[in-house]
Amino acid sequence: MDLIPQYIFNGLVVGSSYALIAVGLTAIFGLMEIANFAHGQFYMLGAFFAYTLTRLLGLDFWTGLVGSVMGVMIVGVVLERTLFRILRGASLSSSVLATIALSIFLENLALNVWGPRPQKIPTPFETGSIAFAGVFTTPERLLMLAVTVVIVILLHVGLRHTQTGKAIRATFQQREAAALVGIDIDRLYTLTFAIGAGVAGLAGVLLGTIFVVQPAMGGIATLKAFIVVTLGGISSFAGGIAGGLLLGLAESFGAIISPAYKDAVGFILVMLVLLYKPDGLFGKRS
Amino acid sequence: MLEAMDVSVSFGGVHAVRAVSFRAEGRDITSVVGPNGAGKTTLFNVLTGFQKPNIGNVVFADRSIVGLKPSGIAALGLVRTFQKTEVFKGLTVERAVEIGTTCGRDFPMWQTVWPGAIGRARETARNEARRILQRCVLEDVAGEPCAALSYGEQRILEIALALAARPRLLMLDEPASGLNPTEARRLGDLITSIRADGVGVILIEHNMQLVMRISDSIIVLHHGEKIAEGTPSVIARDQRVVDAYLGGSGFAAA
Amino acid sequence: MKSRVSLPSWLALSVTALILLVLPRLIGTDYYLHIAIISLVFVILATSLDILVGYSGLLSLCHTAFFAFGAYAAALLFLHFQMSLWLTMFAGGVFAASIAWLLGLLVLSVRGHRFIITTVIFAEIGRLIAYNWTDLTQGQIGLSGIRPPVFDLPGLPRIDFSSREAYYYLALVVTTTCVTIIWRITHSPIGWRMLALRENEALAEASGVDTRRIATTAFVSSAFFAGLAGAVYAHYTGFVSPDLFYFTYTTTMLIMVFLGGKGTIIGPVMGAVLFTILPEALRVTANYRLMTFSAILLVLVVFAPEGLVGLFARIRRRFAGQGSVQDA
Repeated sequence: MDLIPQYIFNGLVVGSSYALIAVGLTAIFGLMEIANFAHGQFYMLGAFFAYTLTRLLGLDFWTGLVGSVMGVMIVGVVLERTLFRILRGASLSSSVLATIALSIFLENLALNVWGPRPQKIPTPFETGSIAFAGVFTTPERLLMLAVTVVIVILLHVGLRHTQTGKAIRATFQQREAAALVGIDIDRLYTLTFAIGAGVAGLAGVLLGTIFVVQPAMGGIATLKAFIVVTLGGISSFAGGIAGGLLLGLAESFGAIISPAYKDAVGFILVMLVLLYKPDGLFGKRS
Repeated sequence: MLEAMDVSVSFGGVHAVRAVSFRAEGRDITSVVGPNGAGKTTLFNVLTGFQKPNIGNVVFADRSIVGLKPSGIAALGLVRTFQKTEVFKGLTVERAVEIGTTCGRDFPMWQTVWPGAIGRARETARNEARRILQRCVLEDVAGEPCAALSYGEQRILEIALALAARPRLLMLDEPASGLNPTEARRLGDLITSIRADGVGVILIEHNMQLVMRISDSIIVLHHGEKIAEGTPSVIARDQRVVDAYLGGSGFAAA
Repeated sequence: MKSRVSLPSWLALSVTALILLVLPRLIGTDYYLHIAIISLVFVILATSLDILVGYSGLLSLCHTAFFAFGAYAAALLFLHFQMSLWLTMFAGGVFAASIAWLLGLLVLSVRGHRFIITTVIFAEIGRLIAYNWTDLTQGQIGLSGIRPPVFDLPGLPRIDFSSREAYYYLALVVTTTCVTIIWRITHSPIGWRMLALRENEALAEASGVDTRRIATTAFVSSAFFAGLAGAVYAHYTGFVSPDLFYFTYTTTMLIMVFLGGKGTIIGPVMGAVLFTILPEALRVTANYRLMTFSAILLVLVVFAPEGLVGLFARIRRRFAGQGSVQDA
């Protein structure tokens, strides 16, 4: 029982990375109605960019972090301007298949560029581990949590109080109407993609200091993010964040029961949610 | 033939349909009219199983149909069209109607490997489809994709698709909306010819000229409640009906 | 339907049949026969996936799970009860179909993204089970030693299918039968109901199609053939592992369906054959293979959603100058 705070903490760390990935996925889906199966690749790219900048080019961690997040944002914008612009208004199956193809493409690109071996991003911290309130942790994990909190607050403030944020929310509600009242949809999409990709990339960098970096991590992240948004309701920001934390916690506790089936916990949760609350825990009926 | 008893539907506390009762006979054209938002389509959805009533019962052909799936209700012979045009867009007209004729017929899986069974089913479907297309005057566009038809033709095609399901009572949701006067007249003739074949029709329609011309009886809904019922001549003189329409689309003017 | 098959089609069919029959003599080497057998297995997988994706409009991303379930069922039945392919084929199909039925209870009430996502998740659950239930499946090591069948009935010549050539003919017969049945299903009133479901679900219901039931039929029958293909695969390679659940396999099957042309039978057949041969031909660039494939899929989906069949139809229309609509 003494370990319960530890499990909660671990769950929150992993869950916050899920939340960061899911936020972008939700935003892209809410705005463009495209389920981006390549979204996890932004996370993977963020991690590899940081690995390249720090380990291979020898930059310090913080420069690497900023650089790789910006790099991922650029990739996101380029993709939005090209592929996703073509996919706008395409049928569901077309957009899903196209993003699946994109995801495989990016994963194998990474495989060719960086190789299959797991890598690590060097940590900026000297301290090895920290203990407080019965929880053992590392500064990297605390950073992950802190950054998540900051990002969530920033997104919340941005959505509520900036003109663009209001436009995004309006578009979420009603796309046609948004175009009618003169919201520049193209700019909005680009911005959303940049932020969504950047936040996922950021999660990749931060988690890359805790776990390993490898090409396959993107596909897994996509899967997890989809579980999160299915749990939380696919077009709800709050749902995405809550769903992410919930999945992190569920997996953390699931590992107590059966380490082998840790990953299955999330899957089973989703199945249950779909069965009893098909619109997600926080979703509204459309 | 069809009887609604005290049907009520509310969405989040707002009554869309409130305690509506009426009967529609199997050989009549019964029109449901009322201003926009009067609850006509909601009532249709209840009658055809697309919406569950909060209270009330619907009896069709001597059995309660509340709780049945739309497909089950259609199989009993209560077939509807939709307010917003719905066709099988990617298929040709002929194919769509052919498919429509087989939808209500049982075709067990084992018959797919039974020699000749598919050919026979297809032959029957093709003959029936040809007959329906002829009667709806759509044979000239039979080979076109449904999506390529003009709006007016698509509205007629919807009725053809409904006829393919072999209705005993046909429910049409604003079939004349968006039609020009000539097309509307053609539609009126088609509807009366359907009645002549012994198939009842329930009609939601805003085109009052059409309604007055072809209806045997009219039901007027207003704010989800039935405010009048009777033959066209009775309804035209009803003060409540005139009041309900005042300010909106003038009833007398239409 | 016979009246609709034209003379050129008969000719094409006969020539294809002839080529398929003498193929082992033509290509000779075991390596090419291996590719031929694998492509036959993928023909079943692609055409059965097309029941869902092409005809019913349900984008399922767990087809490989049914393939894998069928393969595991066959492997276990062979290893524990010495059942031969003659039985495990059906057992694998029925097992996969039963799982599809159960899964359908859950997921066929949702459509669109939720359906797609749930199917992905389901395939992962399958992989986790195969990976973790080591007592039954030996986990990552997989199950091996599954043997091809021997045809041995009194009074008939005994045929051992362990040679590549013999197994090729076996797979050819099984595949042809499956494709024929799938063709008949999709071109029967059952298939027409699937089309109604795909084209317009509300209208289908209003026309008397029990959409839930036809979606279940599509899901279950599609899984049956995938499971059957799994058994054919297991008895051929002699080995099954959790890798069969990998998403890459589902992607491969989807590429085949889309490359050939969804909503047709000939399309996925062509797609499966082409896309089994193509990767082998592209072996030189092994590292860039998946990159190339995904690029192909991307281009196909965006620029040629009707696949090769649609492309041929377009070319034919251009030459014939007539507006024929693709037979769905």
